[in-house]
Amino acid sequence: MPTAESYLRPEVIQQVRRLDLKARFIVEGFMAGLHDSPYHGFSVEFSEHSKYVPGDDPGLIDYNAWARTDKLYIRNYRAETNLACHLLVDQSSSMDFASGAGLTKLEYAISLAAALGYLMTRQHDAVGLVTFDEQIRNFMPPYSTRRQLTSILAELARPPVGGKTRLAEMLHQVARLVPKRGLMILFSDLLDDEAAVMEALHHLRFRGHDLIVFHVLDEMEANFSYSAPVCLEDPESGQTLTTDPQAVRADYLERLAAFRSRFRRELESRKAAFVPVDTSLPFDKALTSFLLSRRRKA
Amino acid sequence: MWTHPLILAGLVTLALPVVIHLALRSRPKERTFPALRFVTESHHATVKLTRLKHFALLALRLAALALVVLILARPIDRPQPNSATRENSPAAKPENLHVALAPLRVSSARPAVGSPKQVAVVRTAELSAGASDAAGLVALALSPDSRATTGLVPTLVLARDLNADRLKGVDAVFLADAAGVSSEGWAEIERFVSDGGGLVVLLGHNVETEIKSGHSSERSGAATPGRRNRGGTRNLRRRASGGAEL
Repeated sequence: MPTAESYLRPEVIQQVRRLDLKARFIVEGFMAGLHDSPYHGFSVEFSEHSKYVPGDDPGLIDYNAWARTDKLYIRNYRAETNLACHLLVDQSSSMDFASGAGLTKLEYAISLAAALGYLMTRQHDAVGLVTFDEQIRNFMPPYSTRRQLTSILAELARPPVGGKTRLAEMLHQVARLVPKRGLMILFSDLLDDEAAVMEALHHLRFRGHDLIVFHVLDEMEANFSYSAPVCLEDPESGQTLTTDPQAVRADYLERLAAFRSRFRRELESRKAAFVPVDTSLPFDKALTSFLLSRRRKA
Repeated sequence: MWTHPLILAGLVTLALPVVIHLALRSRPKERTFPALRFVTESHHATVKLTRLKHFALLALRLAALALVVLILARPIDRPQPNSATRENSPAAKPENLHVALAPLRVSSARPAVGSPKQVAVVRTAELSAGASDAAGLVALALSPDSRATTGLVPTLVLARDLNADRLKGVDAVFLADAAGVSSEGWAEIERFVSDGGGLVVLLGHNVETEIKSGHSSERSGAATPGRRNRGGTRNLRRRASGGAEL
């Protein structure tokens, strides 16, 4: 019987078929592994005091209460209900790629999106979903009901059409479609025109949305660890290239790192979060970086 | 010139690295790769440098192999005759010296005291006892210190100075790797041998040999001479008497 934490590993969660169970297992594994609740400060408001016990975060001690009562209390929070979150999932053909037997980039993104949806629904946040490739395939406005989560998970579990990437255009459309400010969480490999995508992300920020970008790459894309000469084919353009991976690896990794750091710099300068992940990364690392970025914001 | 020219056939091994490369070259596996744009940029940036490195590596490997083969074939460092000799003497040009080989019989009896043999050592250049070739060893053997043992009194004659006067009173001539003997010198040697003089030809870098006799001897470095043949090449035949008996 796998432990709760083991479900944070992509190769374990791959064996779970039902997406709702995937989401539940990931979140429960994540919560079980936490020593400090990340909820405090994330999309929450103050609810009540509770007595301080050693081990609690001293930062949460209410010193005003201590001054009045001479006893240590910590502030407890409860989730807000007015946060509207949109999960934006890129379902283009470039996302439907796995170099080995593990999860594809899309499956990894879907698992992560499902886990976040599950997490936020538990906090009574409203969650919506937008799936797209070269056009918007599904648009679900955010609701905080339990039924909404079921619909989102059902929609995510549906096989993708797998068209070409038109990420920038899709993000502009989403920015126009969602008038109310909220949280946008994008799952994509960002393999579109870099400047156009950057401009579209700025557009979302300009509309007042909080923004978190999960840059999802395959393990091989992140490490480029091919050993023998390979003929690589782009699934979207059909372009091929025969190359010696050992010769180009260092330069490739450098370019990829520069690409990611450009996005990180641009997004962080606009108070948005950029979370680089690859399909070999346990889900808790992705979730933690997501929650930490929310916490910093709060 | 090479000591073991057949080993030069080993230069064929230079083809080995190329053949191995071609034989082991596998067809690149086809893979789907969405982030191809980064690979394309890296490929264009590095491919020229990589090719250059590979060619440099191949050239170094081939050079190392060639060097091994050449060392095994042992090139001969042939000293060039000086220009004066080359201009004045037609015999200085390379030509065939046909030598009939016969074992050198050395008398086991100790030489009689008081009757030393006079020998002339003909050499292209000055002999030195420290030289590592056969002529150097002869110089060592014929040194004044060895006279009591060998019973020989050597006189050094440079090839270009060879004439009748220098061979007066000499019992035997040692041609020690001599290349610069002039036509007159050769005529003098022939006359000397015809008159019953002894001749020992020591083979060396300056003497090309063509073995005429049916057997080769371990002592093939020494030979007994005959007369020049009519064809102009110098054919020194084996003497029936057994050559130079010292």
